[in-house]
Amino acid sequence: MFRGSIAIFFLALILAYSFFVIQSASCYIIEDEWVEKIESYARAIDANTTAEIVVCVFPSLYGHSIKDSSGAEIHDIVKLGVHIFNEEPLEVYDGIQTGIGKKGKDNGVLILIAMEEQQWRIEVGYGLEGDITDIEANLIAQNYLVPAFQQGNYGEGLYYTVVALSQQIPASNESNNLALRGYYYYESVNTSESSSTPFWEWEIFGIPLWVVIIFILFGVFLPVFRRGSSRGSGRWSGGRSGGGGVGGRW
Amino acid sequence: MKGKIVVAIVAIIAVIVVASFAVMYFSTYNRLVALSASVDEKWAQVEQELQRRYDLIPNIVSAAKAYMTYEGSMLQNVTALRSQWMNALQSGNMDAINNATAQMESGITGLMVTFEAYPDLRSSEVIQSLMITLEGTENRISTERMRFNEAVRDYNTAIQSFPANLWAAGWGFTAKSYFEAQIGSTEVPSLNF
Repeated sequence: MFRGSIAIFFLALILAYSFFVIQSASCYIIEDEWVEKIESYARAIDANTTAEIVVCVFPSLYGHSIKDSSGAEIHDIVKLGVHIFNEEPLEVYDGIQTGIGKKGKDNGVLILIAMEEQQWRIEVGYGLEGDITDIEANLIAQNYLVPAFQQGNYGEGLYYTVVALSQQIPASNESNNLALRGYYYYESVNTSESSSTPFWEWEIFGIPLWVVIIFILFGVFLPVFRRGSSRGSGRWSGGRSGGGGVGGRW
Repeated sequence: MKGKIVVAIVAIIAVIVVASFAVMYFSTYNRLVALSASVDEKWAQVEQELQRRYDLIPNIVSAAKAYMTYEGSMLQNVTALRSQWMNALQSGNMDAINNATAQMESGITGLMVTFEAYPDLRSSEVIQSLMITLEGTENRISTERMRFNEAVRDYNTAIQSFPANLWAAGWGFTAKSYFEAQIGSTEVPSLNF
């Protein structure tokens, strides 16, 4: 009897928290279906060309807790793009990688979206600046991203932007025995209140451990830009960029 | 016998002290060399992007000429600033470069603002492409400038820190100047097409 009421108590807690989780999940912007399409397309690009196209979606340029070297939160989309591209540790399948693209090839592309400010930015790595010029990137964004975003079809707009960008990247003739990145889509779990912990940790440490356990029970992985906690422990360095690319509003 | 042991211990300690001093001395020197090289490498990146802007200006000027009948002096001004700026860049004097860059940037800003008054010009595809390239160039310049200044900061901090400050001047390491961003010059005024 006593045991039964404890079980009911915990069940109620679990239900309450899952309700809470679903509520806060409404800030997830891109539908799972499109995220999966983007991920699988980007994985194929990585396999064929070794280039890495990464999509990052932010609810806002404020409150994401990504800081520059002086410790101030970055509110400028260009600076944020350069920072995420080069210095932000992003989760990959076997650990953490800093720098988008392969090391030495600098063949990464970052698509950055700030929903509230209605700003987009395509940051191109050094190694691809010749294949994806600023003008070409702008043309792609104007043709695929901006119209879809104006209609509210965010996932679709991102997917076709990724496809169009990938068509500019030449296939690699060398055998690709480089590890695939594993993840190409990141979404900031944003809050308007700023957090003092680094953003890639606050889902792990900011939420009580038992809530995380409930997440796992429900088969939902949410940490790191709504990613599962890293499975490997490796730290890798990747490609670099230097502010190349284009940006705008929709 | 006891005296010999004491002598041996003192000798060993002396060797350790001298050796660790030597290691510190040489590693400090090597660190400064590496930091100084990093500054130079980053400056090369900055110069490359400045060169891109330099090459872009004649294209913008010639594309704009067809539309801007009354503001020829504006275009001449930018062209003059461009050569002045190149001279400063070649001289390698950081103050001159900072100064010429500031003038160049305000010249470009003035030109962009003037463009606003010409709807035909703004809607020209050539100009739009050039504007996108210019905007990309400005972003690259500010990124490389930031990295250069960070490298200079690391280098300057290193030569002023103990023990490097004792030897840096003797080795010929002097403080390097920053490439300063003028307030408001980091952003190119955006044209609303």
